[in-house]
Amino acid sequence: MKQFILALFLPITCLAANPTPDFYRCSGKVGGEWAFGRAPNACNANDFGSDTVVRSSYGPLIFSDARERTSERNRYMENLHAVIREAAEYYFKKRKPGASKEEMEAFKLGILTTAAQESFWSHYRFTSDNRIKMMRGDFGHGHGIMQVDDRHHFPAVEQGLAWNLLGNITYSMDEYFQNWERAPSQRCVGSASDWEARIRSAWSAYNGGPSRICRWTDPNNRWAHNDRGFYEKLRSKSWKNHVSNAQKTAPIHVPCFMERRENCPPSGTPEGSPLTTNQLYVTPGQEACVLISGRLHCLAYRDRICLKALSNFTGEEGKPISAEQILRFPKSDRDRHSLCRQFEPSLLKAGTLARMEKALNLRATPGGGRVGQLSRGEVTEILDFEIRGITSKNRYYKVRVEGKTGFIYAGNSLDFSSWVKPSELPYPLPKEVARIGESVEIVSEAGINLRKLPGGILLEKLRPGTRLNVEDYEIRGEENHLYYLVQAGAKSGYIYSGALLPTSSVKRWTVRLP
Amino acid sequence: MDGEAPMKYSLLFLFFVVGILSFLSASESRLTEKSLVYKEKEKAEETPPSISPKQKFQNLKRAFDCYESDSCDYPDSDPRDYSFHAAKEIAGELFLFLDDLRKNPDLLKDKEQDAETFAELAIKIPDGHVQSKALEIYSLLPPKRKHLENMMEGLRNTPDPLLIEQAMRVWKKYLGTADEEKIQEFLSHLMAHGAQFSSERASEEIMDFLNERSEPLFQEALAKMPKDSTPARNLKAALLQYHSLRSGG
Repeated sequence: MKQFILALFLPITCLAANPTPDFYRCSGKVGGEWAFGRAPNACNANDFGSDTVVRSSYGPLIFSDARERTSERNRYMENLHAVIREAAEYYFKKRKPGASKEEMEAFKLGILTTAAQESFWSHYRFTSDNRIKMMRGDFGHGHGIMQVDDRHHFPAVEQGLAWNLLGNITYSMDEYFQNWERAPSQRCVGSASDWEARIRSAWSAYNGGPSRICRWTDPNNRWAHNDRGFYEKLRSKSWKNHVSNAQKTAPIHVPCFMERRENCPPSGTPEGSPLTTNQLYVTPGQEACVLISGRLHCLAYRDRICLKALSNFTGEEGKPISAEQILRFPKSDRDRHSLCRQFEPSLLKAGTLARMEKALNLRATPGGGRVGQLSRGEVTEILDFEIRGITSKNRYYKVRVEGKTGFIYAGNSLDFSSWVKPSELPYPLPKEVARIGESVEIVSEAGINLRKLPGGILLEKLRPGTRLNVEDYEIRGEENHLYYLVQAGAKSGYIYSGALLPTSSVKRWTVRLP
Repeated sequence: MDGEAPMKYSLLFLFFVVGILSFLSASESRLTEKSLVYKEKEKAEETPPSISPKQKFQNLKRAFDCYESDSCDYPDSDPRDYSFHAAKEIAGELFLFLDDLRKNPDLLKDKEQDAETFAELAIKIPDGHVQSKALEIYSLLPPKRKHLENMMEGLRNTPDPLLIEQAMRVWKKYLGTADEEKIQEFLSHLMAHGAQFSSERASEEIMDFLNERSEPLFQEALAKMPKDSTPARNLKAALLQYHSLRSGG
């Protein structure tokens, strides 16, 4: 990738490209061939993220060296073509909803060709040493299918964005689209609908930087051979030789991955068969539901295993159902915090101060790229959780340490106490949620309603400046809404104090008193 | 005769000693002189000669020209090398310019025209570090419609969420002015149709821009966004927070 942009998740800026060495963090290096799916070289994918995540998220998109080559290439290419196609469509519709069909098709073609030029559509590969690898080109500096360069995009690479297949594609499409939009105003593009010129210009800038957007018109440029290679692929579209169904549905839920949601549902069309009990379902809105006594009980799909507290379904993958089928039943939206703790009581509540029982990696996403480390004995506040595996109940906690937000792995249902434990120490104080026994003052201009229960019957309105002692707290909902149990005069009830996610609004409601 | 020989030898010895002493003295002088020269050179290298404002202006202009012309003598051992080095040169010169302004805030009065020119040129260059410097300059300048329009044009399609975050900090000073509506329109469009990570960041930081004037616009934007997109979820949460803050939760 060709333009230097600032850090993606972390507030890092640096005035120079990172001097990343060749084949940085490249263990188990293997070669390959300049053919689709197996471009050289490749290194262990788990240098940047967990193989478990790759298998569970992108299983159908791993090229297996163990299988017969021709049929494996065709299988892989057909699946990957569907993914790239759907990703480019979703992306372009979002960016330019009013654009013509021709422009959409041209943009898609540009992305397909870019992936071919950069890596021969190579990303994950299962090799003869039984490891999952990720493609690393250009002396290891180029990562994955779109060759995200670790000198110019070091933070994004470190955080696992290049390792994640759809993160890699989306990140690159942002770059390509910026060039796409600049192209019509350049001397080498005759008109906005000169699609070929636009595709070629966007790629020249992608490869050579923004100032090189018209490089493809200069046959004497030092890097002209790159543009010739791109053009050859644009004309030949040789990937088509391996794709028999160009309209196949992608084997994964592309928008979910592109929107960086966790634990995405499968793609698939509802069969329409009647709903039954003891079956896990997935709705078009990415909810997981179970049917109990004629009522649907639903949670965000990522938390689906917590529905096991209510239903005896087997397996972890939901069966798709349609919106019409959902409408036939009354529906209850369950709260993830209470239900998941009912499913797994050892799960620590958001707002808990947790002590690390061993040194732990801080990762951008559960099992994703490493962004920091916590030492043994370090104490930090839990902001959120993720839970995986009906039997294992692996848990990840979201924490913020030294300005970096990420996830720590905290063990499974058997060994969790050897990873992370609640801290009983009076210090450090949490950053967001007041401890039981602390005092808070209302700062929201409209005051805060005192209610019998979170979101329940109104008892009275408390004015700004009111000081209250925190007796307990609740966390509810997808955004981790915070409710304090307080005593206001003779009345005991809950006050709302903002949400922890996506960015904390707690301080707009109350401040903690020293 | 006998008395002359010792004298002769004494004189010779004396000359010899004087000669040695002279030599040593001269050597020491040379060493000192050499050391001084060496130290002055070191000092010169440690403290670069002060560059005149005119020269700084020329350097910056040259850096911009090099970026546009693609014909300066920057490394080109990698396809992206030239672009990177050209942008780095611009960012470096802007850093020096900003450094002068920070050290001497009164300078801005004399340099306001230059600052506007540099910021306008820099914000158009799609390089994160260059645009970040442009935003820093704009943060020092009084709010003006032209500045806002330049920033928006330069960042319209940026894939960089940190630039958006920085720009939103700069734009807070436009709230309550006649240009506030432009910002709200830009942000609602960005959240709905911007680059993936930029739109996410805008939606995470939108609370400070939510008020009774912008709320209808953002509701309208939300209605057009894919329901399950991350910016849509974030914007929906922000709107709920906004309403809750007004009603007491």
